[in-house]
Formats: sequence, C-alpha cells, structure tokens
Amino acid sequence: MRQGHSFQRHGFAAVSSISGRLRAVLLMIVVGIAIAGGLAIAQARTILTAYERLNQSAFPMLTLAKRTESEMSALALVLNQLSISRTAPQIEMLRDKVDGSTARLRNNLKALSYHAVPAELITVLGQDLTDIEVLAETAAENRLRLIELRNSTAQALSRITALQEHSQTVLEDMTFAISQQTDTLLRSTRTSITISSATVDALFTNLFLDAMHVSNISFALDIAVNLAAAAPNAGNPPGDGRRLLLATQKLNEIINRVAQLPLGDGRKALAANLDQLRGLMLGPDGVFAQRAELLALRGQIGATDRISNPMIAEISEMSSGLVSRSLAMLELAFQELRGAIVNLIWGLAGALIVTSAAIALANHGIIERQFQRRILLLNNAVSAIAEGQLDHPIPISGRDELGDMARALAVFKKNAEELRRSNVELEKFAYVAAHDLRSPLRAIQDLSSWTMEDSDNTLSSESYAYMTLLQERVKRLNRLLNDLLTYARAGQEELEPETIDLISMVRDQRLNADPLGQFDIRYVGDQTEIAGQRMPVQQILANLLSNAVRHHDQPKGHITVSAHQDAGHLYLRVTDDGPGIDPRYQARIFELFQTLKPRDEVEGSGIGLAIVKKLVDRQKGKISLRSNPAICRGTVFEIIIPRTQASAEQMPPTQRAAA
Amino acid sequence: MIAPQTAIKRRTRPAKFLIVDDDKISVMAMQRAMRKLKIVNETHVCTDGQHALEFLETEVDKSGVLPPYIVTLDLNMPRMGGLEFLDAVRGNPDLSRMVIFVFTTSDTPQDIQSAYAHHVAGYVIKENPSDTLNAALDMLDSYARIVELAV
Repeated sequence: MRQGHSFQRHGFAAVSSISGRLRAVLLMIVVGIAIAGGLAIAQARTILTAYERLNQSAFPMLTLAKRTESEMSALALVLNQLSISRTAPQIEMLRDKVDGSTARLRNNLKALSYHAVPAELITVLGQDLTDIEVLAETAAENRLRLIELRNSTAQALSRITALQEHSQTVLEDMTFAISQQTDTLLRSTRTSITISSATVDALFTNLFLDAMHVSNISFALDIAVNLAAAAPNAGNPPGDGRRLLLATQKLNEIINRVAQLPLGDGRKALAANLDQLRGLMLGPDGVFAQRAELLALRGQIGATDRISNPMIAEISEMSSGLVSRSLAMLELAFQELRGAIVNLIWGLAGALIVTSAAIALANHGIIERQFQRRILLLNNAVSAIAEGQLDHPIPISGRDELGDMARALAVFKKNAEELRRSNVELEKFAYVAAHDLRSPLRAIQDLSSWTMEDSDNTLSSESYAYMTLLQERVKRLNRLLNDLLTYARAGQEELEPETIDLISMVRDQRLNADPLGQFDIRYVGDQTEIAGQRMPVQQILANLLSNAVRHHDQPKGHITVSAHQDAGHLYLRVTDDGPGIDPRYQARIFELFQTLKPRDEVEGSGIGLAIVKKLVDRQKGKISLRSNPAICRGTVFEIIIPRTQASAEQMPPTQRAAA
Repeated sequence: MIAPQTAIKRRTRPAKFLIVDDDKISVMAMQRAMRKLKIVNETHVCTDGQHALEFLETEVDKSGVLPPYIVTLDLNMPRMGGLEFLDAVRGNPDLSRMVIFVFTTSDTPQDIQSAYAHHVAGYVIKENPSDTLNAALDMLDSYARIVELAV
C-alpha cells in the first residue's frame, strides 16, 4: 500500500516537475515521430508491394503479351506464306516455323497463366492455338499432298502420254500392216480370179474391220488421253465426272476393239498398254482419282484457309487484348504506386505539419508559458530581491520545481525583509540610543565639571575625589556607549574597495592608539598598498593597535603591522612585544565585554576585539592569534580576508620597498 | 535698489542668537560658554521647533523684516524636530533666508546630508563633554560680528 502511494506521489511528482513536463513534451514529439514513421513505413510497404507487382507482374505480363502478340503476327505471316507457298522444302520450313512459333506461344501462355490472367482466357487461347496448330498442320499436309498429287499426276500423265505414243506407234504399224495386207489383197484380187468372192469379202471385211478398229482405237485413245489430260486445274466437278465416264467408256471401247483385233504382238502390246492406261487413268491411284483428290484437297485447303484467317484474326485480337489488358494492369500498378507515393508524401507532410504544430503549441503552451515566462519572472524576482528591492512581487506558483523555488524565494524574501527590518530597527535603536543616552551623559559630565569649576575651593577633598571619580565613570560610560554604537554599526555599509596606503594609515592610527608616542608603531613589509574597504581596515587596525598599546606592560615597545595581498586573499598581521595572552583566555577575548584586566587597570570597554571580529566575520574572513606567555613574550594577531569580485578588479597593488 | 545709507545702517544692526534645544543642560552649557567668551549678543531660547517657529513668526510680524537671528538648532526635539523646523523655515518666504547652524549630537551622515540639503550655514557635532563648545561659539561670535545677515 505504502509503496503504491509513494509510487503515486513519485509518479505525480515526476509529471508535475519541470523536467517531467519537458519529458512529456519530448515524449509527445517522439510519439508523433513514431506515428509518422509507422505510417511512412506502412506506406512504404504499400509502395514496395505496388513496385513489386509492377516489377514481378505487370511488366513481365506486358512483355509476355507483347511477345505473344508479335509471335502471333509472325505466325500469321508464316501461315500466310504457307498459303502461297508452292515448294515442298518451303512448306516444310514453314511447318517447322509454325511448330516453333506455337511452341513459343504455348510457353508464353504458360508463363502468362502465372500472372493475373483469367484461366478461361488462357484455356481459350490454348485451345485456339491447338486449333491453329492443327489447321496449319492440316494445311501444310494438304499442300504437301497437293504438290505430291500434282507431281504424281504429271508423272502419270507423262506415262500416259508415253503409252499413248507407244500405242499410236503400234496402231500405226498395225494400220500399215493392214493397209499392206489390203494392198496385197487388192493386188491379189486384181491379179487372181481364183479367190472366191466370199473369201475376198471375208478377208476384206476383216481387214476393213481391223482397220476400222485400229482407227477407232487410235481415235478413242486420243480422246481418252485428252480427257485424262484435261487440265486438272480447271476444276469443274460435274465436268470432271462426265469426263471420267467418257474416258471409261472410251477405254472400254478400246478394250473391246482391241479384243477384236487379230492376235499378234501388236495386240499384245496394245493390251499391255491398255492395261497400264486403265490403271493409270481409272485406277484408285489413277489420274482421275488423283484429280478428284486434288480437287477435294483444294477445297479443304480453301476451307481451312477460310477458317484459319478469322481464327488468326481472333487470336491476334485476343493477344492484342492481352497486351491492352497487361497495359491496363501496368497502368493500374503505376497508379497504385503513384497513389502510394502521393499518400506517403501527403502523410509525411501532414505528419510534419502536425508535429510542427504540436511542437509550436508545446513551445508556446508549455515551454513559453509554463517555463520561459515563469523562469523569467522568477529570475527577475530573484535579481530584484538580491539587489534589495524586497517589495518585488513573486507571481509564480505551481506544483513543480519553479513553484517550489518561488515559494522558497518568498521565504527568503520574508527573511530578508525581517533582516532588513531588524537591521533598520537596530540602526534606529543605535541612533536613538546614541542620542538619548548621550545627552544625559553629557549633562552629567558638564554638571559635574561645572560643579568642580564653580566651586573653587569650597568642595572638600573627599567631595572633590568623588566628583573626579564621577567624571571618570561618566567618561567610561561614554566610551562604552561609543564603542557599543560602533559595534552596532560595524560592517553595516558595503563600501567600495579602495587602494589603501598602509604606511600612512598606520601613521594616522598611531596617534590615536599612542598619543604620547611612547611606542614604536610602524608598518613593515614589501607590499605597502592594498585594495580593500577603508573603514573596516581602519577600524580593525585602530582597535588592534590601541589594544596592543594599552595592554603593554612596559613603557616602551614595538608594534608592527604587516600585510600581504594576492589574487585570492588579504593577509593582515599585527605583532607586538607585550606580555602576551594566556592561551586559556584566547577564545574569550573576542566576546563582548570581555577584558583581561580590571577596568581600573586598563581602560577598555571589552568591545574592541568584538568589533574587530564582527568586521572580519562580515567580510567572510578569519582572525586568529598566536601567543603563549609561558614560552615567550609577544602576541601576533592574524587576519585573513578573501577578496571580493570588486576588490579583485582593483588595479593590482604596486610593490614598494618598505618605508 | 538698496541706498548706501540703508546698507551702512544694516551693518550696525546687532545679531542675536536663537538657541533651539530642548535639553536644559545643553542650553546651560552654551550659555556658560558664551559667558566665558564674553559674548554679549542677545540670546533667546526655544525648547522645540514649534516654539522657535512661532517666535520667529511673531518677530517677523513685529518688525516686518527678517529678524537678525543666528539660529543654533538641535535636531532631536519633541513636537517639531530640527529637520522639520528647517523644512518649515526654508518653506516660509519670510524666514527662508535665516542663518542656521545645526548643533547636534548626531554624527550620522544622513543627518549631515539632510541638514545641508536645507542649506544650513554649518553643522557642529556636540561632543561629550562640552569643553569643545568654546571653539564653536568663538566661531559663532566671529561670524556674528563679521558676516552680513540677510533681511
């Protein structure tokens, strides 16, 4: 419990003290800075996040999107090239390019999928890419196949042409043979009558038939070949189908006719050729089939082209969309970053303003009002009171150190006022005492001396003695009064330090202390000038010298005064060769009204040394004496007085040889 | 505008002493000393400032001019003290030119300064005993004989 209380008090004191409040102010400032710092750090983290996003996400995404875009346009170009390429190596190369492109695009897409791109988009794009891949592959293959077909068609046609030529040659030979036979027959008919007309008819008919077959075959062959060789490029499907039919017909006709032909090498050759021709033309790999396939292929290619172009356009659009999306993201990220930075700046500016305002407020409210003003007031009050303006108000209050100081100052002020009042009272008292006591004293003295004067010889010797004693006592009383007054007044005034010529001062005081000039009183020493207050030094010397003279037990003696002054102190020494002072009484002699001898023996008020001590004390000095009658005669009084600031600023006393 | 005859006439007007002091013995001492020095000038005694002021005022009314008094003034007196008397006298145009010597036991610098601030002719410290009063009164005697007083 007690600990809690004392902690409370301690805590309260800590808060209400000046340093406590200042610390509170500093704490406020620190808190403000901490808050600002915290906000700044938080903001910085946002900035960092935004930057990271920019760095890790938006930029890479943009890069990827751009790359995708450019890759897409490259792909489109390749596909375009593909659609117009004619040679197989070209197509192969382009196909490889497409593969490479699509592979890279797939990588891009995979990389993009790690960024903020919606999965569906990636999937769609991937799908599209696959489609394009397939399309491109198909297109390439188709085109390759087309080229292949063209080649094989050309090959087939050239073979067909070769076969045709060969067959025509054979047919021409056969025609020639027939015509020769016919000629022979004709000649033989002309030359022989024995051949029956039936045989001739039959022979002729055979020959005629053969010839007809041959020419028909030749004709049909040409037609069939022409049909086969009809430009496959002029693709007219219905036309092509009719041609196939016709060609088939013609070939069948040829086969029939060839079957009608007489057996022989020709027929065999023809049959072989026909077989081949049939295969070449009508077979599953025949020209017509090839041509049909070619047409189909062309159609496919056209179709794929038709699909792929919009697809490519779509993908290009998507990749442009990606680009613009990533640009938008970039923009967003930039905005975020910018926003975060602006926030930071505003936050810091705000914090700065608030802190400045708080500091200004604290400066005015706390430091200015609570401290500076009060410190100034307290300072003024202290200075004023120190200078003696004891009625200066102390308008400071509070529960902190300043308040305590102000209250303490009020106590000092009261004490100082009391002191001043009592000093004033003392002075008034001394003043009044001086007057009111002196007047009756003087009256007594005067009356008694007048009595002695006027009475001539009418007074008895006893009365005369009484009167004399009366006078002496009155004189003593007077001296006592004067000394009391001097004691009361001693050291009351703060005098300006002067340069004091010790030799002349000692010479002056000598007359007071030893008016008869019995003693040798002199100043001894190198330093003959000192800086100090004249009155106190004079009074001290006067008292010490007079004491030395009065207490001397011999009619002649030596009293020396010496002094030494350095930067810090004044050393004054009065040495006599008198009887000395018993160590037992050395402490007492400085007290008021203490004398060493009965007052009838040595006239002394007992106040002199008290005055000296009071003067020395007032100057914050020390007085001591050395004397021991048991060992030797003589007494040394030693006084050490520290130098005041003012006396230290005096010109350094000049050193002169002892007079 | 003083005619030469008038000036000469004034020269012969005898000075009088006005002792302002409440201490009977002190007055006796002054009178004794005057007797010893054979000072025969007319002497009047007032026991405090008030009396002295009234006396002087009456004198002024009687003669119409500044009475030819040399005043010896004590400072410590009942009713009206020496400094107050000086205030009154120096404030009164009829009396302000009065010659006043302060005779007092006070040796405080403040009193000396105040007295001279009231333009006293001199300040004499009464010592114990009064033996040394003779020199002061001798001086006053010479003063009275030599110095011309105002009107």
